[in-house]
Amino acid sequence: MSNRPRAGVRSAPKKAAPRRNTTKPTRSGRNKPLLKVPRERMDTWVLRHIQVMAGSLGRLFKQPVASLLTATVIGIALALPTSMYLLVDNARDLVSEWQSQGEIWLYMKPNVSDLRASQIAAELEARGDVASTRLITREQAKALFIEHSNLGSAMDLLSDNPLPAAIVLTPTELNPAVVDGILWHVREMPQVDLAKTDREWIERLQAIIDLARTFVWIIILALCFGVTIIVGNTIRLDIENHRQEIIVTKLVGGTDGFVRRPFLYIGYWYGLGGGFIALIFVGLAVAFLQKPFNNVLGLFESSYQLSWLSISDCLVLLTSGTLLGWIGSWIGVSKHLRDIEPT
Amino acid sequence: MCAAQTIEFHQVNKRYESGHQALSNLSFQMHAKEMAFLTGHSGAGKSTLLKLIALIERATTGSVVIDGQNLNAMGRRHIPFLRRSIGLIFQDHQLLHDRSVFDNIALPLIIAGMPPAKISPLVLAALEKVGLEGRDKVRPIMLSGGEQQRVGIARALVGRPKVLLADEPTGNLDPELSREIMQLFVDYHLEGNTVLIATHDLDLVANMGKRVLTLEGGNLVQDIPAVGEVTPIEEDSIHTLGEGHE
Repeated sequence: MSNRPRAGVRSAPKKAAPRRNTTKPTRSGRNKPLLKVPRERMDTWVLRHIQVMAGSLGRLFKQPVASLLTATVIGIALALPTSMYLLVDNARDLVSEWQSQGEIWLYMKPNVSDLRASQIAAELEARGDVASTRLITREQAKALFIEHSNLGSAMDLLSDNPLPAAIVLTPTELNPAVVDGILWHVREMPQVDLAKTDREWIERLQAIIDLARTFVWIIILALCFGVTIIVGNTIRLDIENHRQEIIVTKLVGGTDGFVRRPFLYIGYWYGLGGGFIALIFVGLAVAFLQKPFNNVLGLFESSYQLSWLSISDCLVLLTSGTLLGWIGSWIGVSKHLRDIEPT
Repeated sequence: MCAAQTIEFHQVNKRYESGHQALSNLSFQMHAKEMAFLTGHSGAGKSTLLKLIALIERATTGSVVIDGQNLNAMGRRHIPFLRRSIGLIFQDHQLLHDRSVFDNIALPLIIAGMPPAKISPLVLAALEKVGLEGRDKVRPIMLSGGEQQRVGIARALVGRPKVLLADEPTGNLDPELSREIMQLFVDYHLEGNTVLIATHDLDLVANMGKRVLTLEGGNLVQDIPAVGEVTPIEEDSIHTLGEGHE
């Protein structure tokens, strides 16, 4: 075994001279046209980044179970706020859809006849801000009452019909100023007993949803923090496992940036992988929820459908996952890299 | 150029946190393109001295100046660039066992941002120089201790640093191989580079006819100039003794 190498060493002095000749031109390459060197360095830099990127992915695939577990934990941490966000977002859309059906109901005073009520409806329809009116006569009101309540038989006991006539107004526009303008006008009319819209409870619902949204944002922030900690801690263990590599790299002149690079890419992959897993989880959750959710909405006579994440939402999720992974590894690396120095 | 000092130690003290005084009031200079041996018993401070040059450790007091740069003033960010100009050879090789011999030797060039096309011929030439041609694809773990040492030497030489520091480079080698490795260092020195080698192999050192610095308990107790060379005696090199001079 040792014979061959020794022969090589003996021949080394002779070989030294031509070798030097081949090396020198590359070292004095700086004298070449100025543009050439940066271009070459740039290409090398890009190539090294791609190599490190692929290399760090390879490193993760060497321990598939551990890597998958870490990515899954990140995925769950990302999927949780994403699905909550999705639900709140759907609720918001739903409420705004309801709002767009906004009608104004005018209940006439009991002494207003159906005829008078129809005259009022015609007057109101002449207004520019009223799109249409629909008259519900006293008889129709009674019929509706019997149809929609269990108290139909009670109505039979009454000799008179106690229900007033009503007018349903649809405003031309649904902006609050227009609706308020109509309300202000009709409430002044002596024949009108009560004018109401479904706006109040929609506003209340809206407020609750806004509160939920804020709450979801707090959870998103907390879990983002959690993801960076998960990645940071995983990277810390990874750094510990590559102690020797870090020391050797530093000994032969590797900068902090060079040593940091593979760990940053590992964080990047964890984040991206976690993002994808989160997408799968959210997808599954929506798939399972869609039917019961739509059933519930069906009961409310709404045709609204639970929507999936949009393409841009998916991109935001993946980007935030990647970014969080990167930030987490950056924090982990910065904190622990300084501790590892050759001695 | 010859007059320029590459390595200067001025009243350097190094005390470790444990309280161990590794170097005491040490002063010496090496001019550019000089070759010297550093001898002494284990624990005499040889490794510490080399570590101070590569800023693996910092001097407690006094100053270490490399190529006119005072290392005391050198910030953490600049250390990598200092180390790129120094080839380091370690007693324990400091190789990466999860990478091939080729990748180990290529590491300094990759770090320096050299294009891949230029790396390959340099690495193969360095392997040939240390007599390990054809072993580029194996892992260092498959090699004997002596072969691993030579991989470490190839890695130190591949970037052609102006300064080469070696800590017991022949520790694991048989006498014949040790001489060949020493000859490799002499050749590198003759190519115009500064070479400082720490070794306790006094027989080997005696035959080389180079300058010999002897440490004892952290003090420089002897500075024998190279055969046929006159080293200028510096005012502050207090510990230079006459008996070794010829």
